[in-house]
Amino acid sequence: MTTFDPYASSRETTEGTVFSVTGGDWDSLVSEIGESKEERIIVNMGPQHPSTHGVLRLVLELEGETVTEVRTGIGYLHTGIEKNIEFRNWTQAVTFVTRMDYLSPIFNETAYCLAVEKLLGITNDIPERASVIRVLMMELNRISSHMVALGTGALELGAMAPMFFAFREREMVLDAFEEISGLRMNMAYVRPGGVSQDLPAGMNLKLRELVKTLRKNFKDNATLLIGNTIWMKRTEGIG
Amino acid sequence: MTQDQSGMFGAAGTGDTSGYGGLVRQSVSFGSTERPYGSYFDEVADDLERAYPDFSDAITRVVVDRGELTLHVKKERLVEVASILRDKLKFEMCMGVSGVHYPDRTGAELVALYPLLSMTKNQRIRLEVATSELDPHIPSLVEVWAGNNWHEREVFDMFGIIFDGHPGLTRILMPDDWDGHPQRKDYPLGGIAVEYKGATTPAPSNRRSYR
Repeated sequence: MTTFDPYASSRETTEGTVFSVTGGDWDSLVSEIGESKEERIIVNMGPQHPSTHGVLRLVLELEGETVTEVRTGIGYLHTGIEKNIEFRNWTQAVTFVTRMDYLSPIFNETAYCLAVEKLLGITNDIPERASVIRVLMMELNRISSHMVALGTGALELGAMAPMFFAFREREMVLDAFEEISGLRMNMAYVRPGGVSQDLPAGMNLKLRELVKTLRKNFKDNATLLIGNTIWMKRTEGIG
Repeated sequence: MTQDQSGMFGAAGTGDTSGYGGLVRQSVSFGSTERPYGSYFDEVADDLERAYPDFSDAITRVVVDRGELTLHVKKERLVEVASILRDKLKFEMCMGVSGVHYPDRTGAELVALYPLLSMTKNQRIRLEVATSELDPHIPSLVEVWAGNNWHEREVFDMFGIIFDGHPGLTRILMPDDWDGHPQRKDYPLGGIAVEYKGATTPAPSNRRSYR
């Protein structure tokens, strides 16, 4: 190495160059700012940061504690799914699209499959039972996805208990998914032309039982959230 | 108009796991659809013709396929047509921009698609604009639909279409110093080494155990 890099110093070993990646030098930043009269600082937040769910980079311009400008780097979760699908056939692509939003795989799959069926001109040939199963799975998926949103949303606002309850409910739905498709998440269950397999025997009754349990449990969680003054104040009337 | 195509989606050369790489088929490209278009499409076309006197010059083709209406617009007229669709025909929303690369269509290789939604009338149509690879410029629609900002950046990033008049056309998904535009058909799948702080990890396809 010809230049010194404060964030990644290197040393030569028998296996080649070894880099030690370190964090930012907060002390030098603080001393630098201490000398200037301006309060404006630029902070590079992320891409790995405990308060972002996933990888997101924000370049923040701060005036004291007020964010005056923000620029975002959203590409860290870009996985090149479209490019991959160019090299695969229509059925294989379901395995990719199911991972696009890992909280609502059935919706991704169904949207993709409906488009493929439209292109092939076979929309009217899809068995009614398959369409009904798709809708049923999407509705269950909607519940599990909303549970994560409510649970983690509450966690973000400082309430931990609603997250436990929301994830308990979500897990029940995922158990049903596992019984139907074999997998909890990323099931690639919906396929162009229908679904990968029929509902297992007795699933009908089990789902009815599940819905009954969920209805009962939702009440607990609703009371817990609506009864929470902080959660209400931070969510009511904000758009 | 028909043309022979081979392989999947025009991509060839690398990593085809589908077994369809040797597929040869004829692609059909549509001419203009004859009236009546059916559904609410005649109404949309009539309204646009009435509101926009230059209709026949700006709209090169009207295609109805699989129950969807696509208006092919000359790129110089795109902003005019879009403003009229928004203001007079109540297409309040542009749902984004999709890029497409047709390497075989000489002179019109790069295509931008704009799906429009009218919430008041519950109607959906699509605008299609084509441009050449050698002159990949299309006017920006950020002035008309502000939400197009990031979508146009994405199409620029993935396909290299330059949207003239965009307030800050930079890459959005790939790193700023990336070479090439990944979703063009001549861009390879994989084969790119990972470089981080001077250390290089070869692409999976070039690692020793796979060769």
